[in-house]
Amino acid sequence: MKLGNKVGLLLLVIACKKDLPIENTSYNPIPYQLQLPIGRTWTQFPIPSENPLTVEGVSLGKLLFEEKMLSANNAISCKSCHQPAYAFSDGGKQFSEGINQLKGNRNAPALFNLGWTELYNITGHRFFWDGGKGSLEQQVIGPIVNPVEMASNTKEVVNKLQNSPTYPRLFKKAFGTDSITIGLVAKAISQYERTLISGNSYYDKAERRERLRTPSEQNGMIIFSTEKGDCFHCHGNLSSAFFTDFNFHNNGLDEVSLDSGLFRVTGLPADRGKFKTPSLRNLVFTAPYMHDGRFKTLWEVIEFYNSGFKNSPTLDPFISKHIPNGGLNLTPIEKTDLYNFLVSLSDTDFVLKHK
Amino acid sequence: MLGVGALSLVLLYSSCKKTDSSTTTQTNDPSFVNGLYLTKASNLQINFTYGFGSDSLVFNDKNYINASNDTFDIEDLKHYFSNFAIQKADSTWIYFQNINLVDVKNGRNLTLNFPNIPAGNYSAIAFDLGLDKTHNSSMGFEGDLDPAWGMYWTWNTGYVFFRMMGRNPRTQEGYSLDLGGDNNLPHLVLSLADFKVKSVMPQIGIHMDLNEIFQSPSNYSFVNDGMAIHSNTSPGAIKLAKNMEDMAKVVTLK
Repeated sequence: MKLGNKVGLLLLVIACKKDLPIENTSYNPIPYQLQLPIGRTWTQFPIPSENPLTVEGVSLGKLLFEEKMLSANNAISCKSCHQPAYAFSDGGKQFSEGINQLKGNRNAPALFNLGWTELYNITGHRFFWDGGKGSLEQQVIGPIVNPVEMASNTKEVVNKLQNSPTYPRLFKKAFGTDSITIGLVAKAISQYERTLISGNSYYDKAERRERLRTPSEQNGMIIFSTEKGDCFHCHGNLSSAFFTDFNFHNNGLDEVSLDSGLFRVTGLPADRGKFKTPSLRNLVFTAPYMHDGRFKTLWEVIEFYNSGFKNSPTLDPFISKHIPNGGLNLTPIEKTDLYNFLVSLSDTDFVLKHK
Repeated sequence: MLGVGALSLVLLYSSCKKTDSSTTTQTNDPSFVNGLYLTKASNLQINFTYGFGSDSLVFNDKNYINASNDTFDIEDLKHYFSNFAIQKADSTWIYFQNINLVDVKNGRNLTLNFPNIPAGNYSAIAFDLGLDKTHNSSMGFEGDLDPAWGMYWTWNTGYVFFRMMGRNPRTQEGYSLDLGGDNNLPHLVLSLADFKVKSVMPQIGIHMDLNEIFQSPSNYSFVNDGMAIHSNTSPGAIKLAKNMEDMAKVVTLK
């Protein structure tokens, strides 16, 4: 009953807004103040000068991220497969379902701390598992038109939004024009995505001396950041906040990669089987793991790096240097310690904050 | 309108200067004895090229053989340059205090510019292939020292100065050389005296020969010295750092 009242009130407010005079939809955007986590390693990332963050742009971007009209049959939105409760990954699914239950061959990646990719990856290959796009604005269009994802086309999306009662007004507020283009859709969603920042994990709290690491976690951290576990070469040293090097590696999943990875994009044989290094933050929310979601648990992942990686012409030298020793040779206790450290990189505030 | 005005003012100014310098520059200037001769404060541009012996550097697709008969490709090459300095005719040095992380594969920082080099006669250029003690242990973490670039050593002191990676094409076994350490910093001094150049915008071309990392004074062998060097104190690391001191050559000066 109470809820019903609230909904009624909300509808009333929206209805009123529609009748408001024209000056309320004028173009006067408020700059969006990005909240960066505390600590010197959280440097400001570049915001494209042609797409500054505004309060109106970010809130429009969130609406569009959740807008099912972006798909051909109005059934799925970006959020359908990038769910906030799972750090914007797809709730345990190996492969997400696009429209009509179609499935792709890649695991929906988690979305957070994306803006830093554009700072630390200096190549043109940044987004998607295979680096197919160089900026968020370019990336956004991909899933909308992919036949196994939203299967729409840019013209159709623009038409639907243009004919909706609300969107032209919101675009006017965010971008100064109510004439919607796919470029503006991409800009708005990118603005929203740049605000998805996760930096308040148990690890971060320990760094700020707000909690103590358990002895196991502490030991796991040492394994992570030394040649013992050798995770840091690709997932970043502890003085960097991101737990990824924002680059591409062949981590030895297969002797012959069915999915060619970065090779699809560059055509260089040396890039065969290379995929983007995912951040290790929020791992507890983002199972399954790897570009094809082949590992259901973190234990499987740790055992893979400990003893299961395969040699191939493009296997990363940071991994192949462990071949002479037959792998990492971690003891069961060391694996548990590493697990506990990895789990400490989870930021529950992030998943609770974004709904 | 303003822009055009400013531009023409600059042109006017520089053309004035040109006349000035041509009057002060004398071909029989006794101070013009060697190297680089600047008649006015100028921008110095340094361009770097990389190769392996007489071969060009091609990432991934070319195999190289070193003095120890190891065959390997090169898949990644990153290193720091710092403390560039040029030596004046009176033997004093001018230090530029730069720190640049070079990513050869992605073409980052292959050209460095040092503005406002005073007029004078220069005989040598020097630089470190890495970071000096102060910067190596600094907690500044800014710009090219940002640990997110992946060159920060978590369990060792400071930064990786020089990273080279690749593999043996036959066995597919990877090698990974991460060099660094305060006591293991190659300091390179290159003579400019073979050149006689007077230039308004001097450009020095420096060629880095990766083959020299593996030889002179001592041959490095992947088989005997190791496929992975990740410590600044290992004998292999010391050998490589010593070898690196003769890896650079001034190839052009114009």
